[in-house]
Amino acid sequence: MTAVGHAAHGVHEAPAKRLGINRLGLWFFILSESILFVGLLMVRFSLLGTYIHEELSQLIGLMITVILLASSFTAYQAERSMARGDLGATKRNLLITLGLGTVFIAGVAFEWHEALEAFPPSTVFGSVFFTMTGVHVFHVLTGLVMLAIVHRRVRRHETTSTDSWPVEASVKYWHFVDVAWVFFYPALYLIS
Amino acid sequence: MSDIAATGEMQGARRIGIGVRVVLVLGALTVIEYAIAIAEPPGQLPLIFAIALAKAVPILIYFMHVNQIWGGEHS
Repeated sequence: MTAVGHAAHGVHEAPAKRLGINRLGLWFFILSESILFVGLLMVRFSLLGTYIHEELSQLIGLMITVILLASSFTAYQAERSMARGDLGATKRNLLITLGLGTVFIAGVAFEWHEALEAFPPSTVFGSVFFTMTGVHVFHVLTGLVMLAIVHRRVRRHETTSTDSWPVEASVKYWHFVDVAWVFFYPALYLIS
Repeated sequence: MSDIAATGEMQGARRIGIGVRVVLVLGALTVIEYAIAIAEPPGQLPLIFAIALAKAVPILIYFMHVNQIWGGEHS
C-alpha cells in the first residue's frame, strides 16, 4: 500500500477505533456504577430482609416503573432515528424521553412526600428507602441533564448522524438507569 | 430510491419493530411481577428477581447493544 493509501486507511480507521474506545470506557463506567447499585440492594436485604412498609404506594411504584420503561423505548427510538439521519425524529424522541423522565421524578417526589410521614428517614426502612430512591433519582437527574445537552446539540446541528456518539452515550446511560430501576422496583415495592 | 437507502430504511423499520417487541415484553413481565407480588406465593423472592433479570437482559442486548463490547454488533 502506498503512503497515500496508508493515510487514507488511517483516516477511515481512526474514528472507528475512537468509537470503540469510547464504548469500552462507557461500559467500564456503567460497570463501576453497577457496583454502587448492587451494594445498595445488598444493604437493603441485609438490614430489612424481605420487609416492606405497608403504606408504600404500590400504584405509584407501578406507574413510575411503566413510565421509565416507556422512556427507554423512546430513548432507543432517538438513537435509531439518529443512525438513520432523521434529526427531527431524534429531537422529538429525546424530548419525549425528557418528559417521561421528568414525570418519573415527579412521581418519586410525590412518593417521598407521602413517605416522609409514613416512614421518615430516621427509621430503618425510611433510611433504606430514601437512600436507594435518592441515589437512583440522582442518576435519573444526571441522565436528564445529559439528554437535554444532547438535544440542544442536535437542535444546533452540532451532533449529526456521522458523529452520533453523544446520542448513543447518553441513551446508553439512560438505559442503564432503567436497568437499575428494574432491580430496585421489586426490592423496594414488591418483595414481602 | 437507491438500493442502499431502501436497505437502510428496511433495517431501520426492523430495528423499531424489535424495540416495540422489547417494550411489550417488558410491560408484560412488569404486570406478571406485580401480580406475583399481590398473590404472595411462597418463594416469591427468587421468582420476582428471576423476572427482574428477564427484564434486564433484553434491555442490555437490544437497547444497550452489549454485544458491541466483543465486537458482535456494529450499530
